Amino acid sequence: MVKVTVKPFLFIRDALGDQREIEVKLDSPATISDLLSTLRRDYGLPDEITVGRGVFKLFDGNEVRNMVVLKNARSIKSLEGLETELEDGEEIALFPPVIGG
Amino acid sequence: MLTENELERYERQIRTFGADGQERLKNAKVFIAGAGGLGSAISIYLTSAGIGRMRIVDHEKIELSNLNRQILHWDKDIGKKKASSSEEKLKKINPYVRVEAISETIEENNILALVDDFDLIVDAMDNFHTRYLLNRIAVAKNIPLFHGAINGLYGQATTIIPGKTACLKCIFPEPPPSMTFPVIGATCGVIGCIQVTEVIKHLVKMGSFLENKLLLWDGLNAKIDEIEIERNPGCEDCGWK
Repeated sequence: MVKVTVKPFLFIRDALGDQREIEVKLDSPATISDLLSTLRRDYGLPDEITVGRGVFKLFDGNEVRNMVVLKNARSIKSLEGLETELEDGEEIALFPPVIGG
Repeated sequence: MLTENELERYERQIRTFGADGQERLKNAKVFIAGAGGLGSAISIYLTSAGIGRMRIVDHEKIELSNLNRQILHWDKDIGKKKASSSEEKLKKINPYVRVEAISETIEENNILALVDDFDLIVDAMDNFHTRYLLNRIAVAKNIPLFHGAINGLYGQATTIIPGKTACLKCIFPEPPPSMTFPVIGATCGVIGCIQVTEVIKHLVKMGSFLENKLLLWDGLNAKIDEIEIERNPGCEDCGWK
């Protein structure tokens, strides 16, 4: 069993019931992909919020196309992506990228 | 040396960081990339604070739909270049600041000349393609980059010190997809002012910074959060440093 702490931000936090931290237990070995599946199945993470090319409608009708996932403060894109393995006690941050100026 | 007039002009902030701090602002050279929503808030406050020399680069012309947030540009300016509109207003706000606005697109082949010998870069861009150029030049020249971005009622900011903190490529190894972003003007004000606060503290040497932290502004729910970020030793932009 692997227990990780998920920290969602901005609309992803809203989608997960406005919780600052969520402890999630996963069967070992577990990956980011397994974690996201569990968040979708058991915690209400909308299918549209993905690491890839998904499109998520915001409260104002505008769209955000993906989310950033950090494992212990490092982007999973510089690790093994969705196949990045999770270990007990690790922290996963989920947030939408903000791009405008 | 500060003149009598300058001592009076900046008296309230000299109470915060001393005349030495004000001298440091006067001797500073600040490069601002962008004269849009963020760039308006950033340049107005840095000009008012008495930065010695500022260079603002933006190639766009002012459109009607800019005016809800780009407070440097007014109704009468529609169709003008953002650079000339910025220079005109900022010089009137504070004649002690040497403001130079350049109407050019920041690109790989001109960024070195544009950033020149400026002490730091403030990111007021609206896309990650240019932000990555700013990131690379900041790392190469070993100067800080003050990042900010906005979307709707959301914003983010971080302070990048090359060799010490995560850079933009560490946090976002791939560019988020471009889009026409919604925004209210006040979001630009919140994030631009956080960036300006970081710049001033850096220049006068006080306080602590958004180093290895990505600040997130959730205006929808009136919350501020911080995400811990870390350098990527294999980062293509800063890993060698």
